[in-house]
Amino acid sequence: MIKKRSLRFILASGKRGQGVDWLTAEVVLILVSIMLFVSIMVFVSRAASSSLFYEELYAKEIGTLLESAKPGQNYSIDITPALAIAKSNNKNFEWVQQNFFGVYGTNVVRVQTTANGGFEYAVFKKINITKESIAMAGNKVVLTLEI
Amino acid sequence: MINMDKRGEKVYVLIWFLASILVFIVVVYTATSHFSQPIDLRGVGIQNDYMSVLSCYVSQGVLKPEVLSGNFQVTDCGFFADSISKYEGLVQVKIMDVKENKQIYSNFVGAVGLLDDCAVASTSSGAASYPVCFSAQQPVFYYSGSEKKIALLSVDIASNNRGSSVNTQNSLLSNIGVNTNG
Repeated sequence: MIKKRSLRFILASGKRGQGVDWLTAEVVLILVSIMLFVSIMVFVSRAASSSLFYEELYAKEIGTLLESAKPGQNYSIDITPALAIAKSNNKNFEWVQQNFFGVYGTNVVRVQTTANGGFEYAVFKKINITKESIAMAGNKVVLTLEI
Repeated sequence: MINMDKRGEKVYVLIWFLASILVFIVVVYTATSHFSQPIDLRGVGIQNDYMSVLSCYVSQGVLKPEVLSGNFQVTDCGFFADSISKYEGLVQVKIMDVKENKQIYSNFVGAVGLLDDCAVASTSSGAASYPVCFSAQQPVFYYSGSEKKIALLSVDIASNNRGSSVNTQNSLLSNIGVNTNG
């Protein structure tokens, strides 16, 4: 009701057509602002959940962890965001279990969340992993490494 | 008066629009530069390496007997020489007798030339492409025969290891040796 009144007031104010011009400009301005805001949110959200960012993050974190690891230690790493990214790339949990993490050569850690790309991080020490598994723990995906 | 108001509204709309565009550009630029920035864990890596060297060379403040046996090398601490050289790293260990002021041990693995880059990096700002470096000296005891002496263990570590994105379809073909048991 209030909106209708204010709309009538705006339309009735000034010369003929002036109110309509003002309203049109305001509506266009609001729409453009909303579009800009939405596109910013979409862009930032895509940038924040990009596979490249997470692959690099996990590869370096795991590599650094393994470099300082001592024999007999176990590590559990929450990789839930990686599963979300893999799913957005049409990969399922089984694919993540098989492909997310690997050690190549003797010291190169590779993490991948897409079929074509990944991130490799070499550490300066030889890596010896006795057991590796990816499993669901509640609503989280956990990578477990036994050294 | 009405014309002035109308002009004012147009100016207001224009300013609002330009401000929105400016905000958009700033947010996009900030997000892009933030997420495209490499994640730098080199500092953590070289701290790990330093702790590895210490635990490998020293036990309870005393140099391990095998260190001064003549054959002991940095690679005996589990460092992978090929990797350190390939990924621009250096681990250098020197031991000096404090009383005699004489170097009794020196060994390194990797690119010793990185120490020059370290010197430059420590004096210039914005040297993003230079390695991250760490140097530390630790007084230790060692035995020469039955005599207990004091030495200074100097460790220099540098790393420019940044990792890289790979095309896994090509890379997997050239990396067959997987040593995980998953």
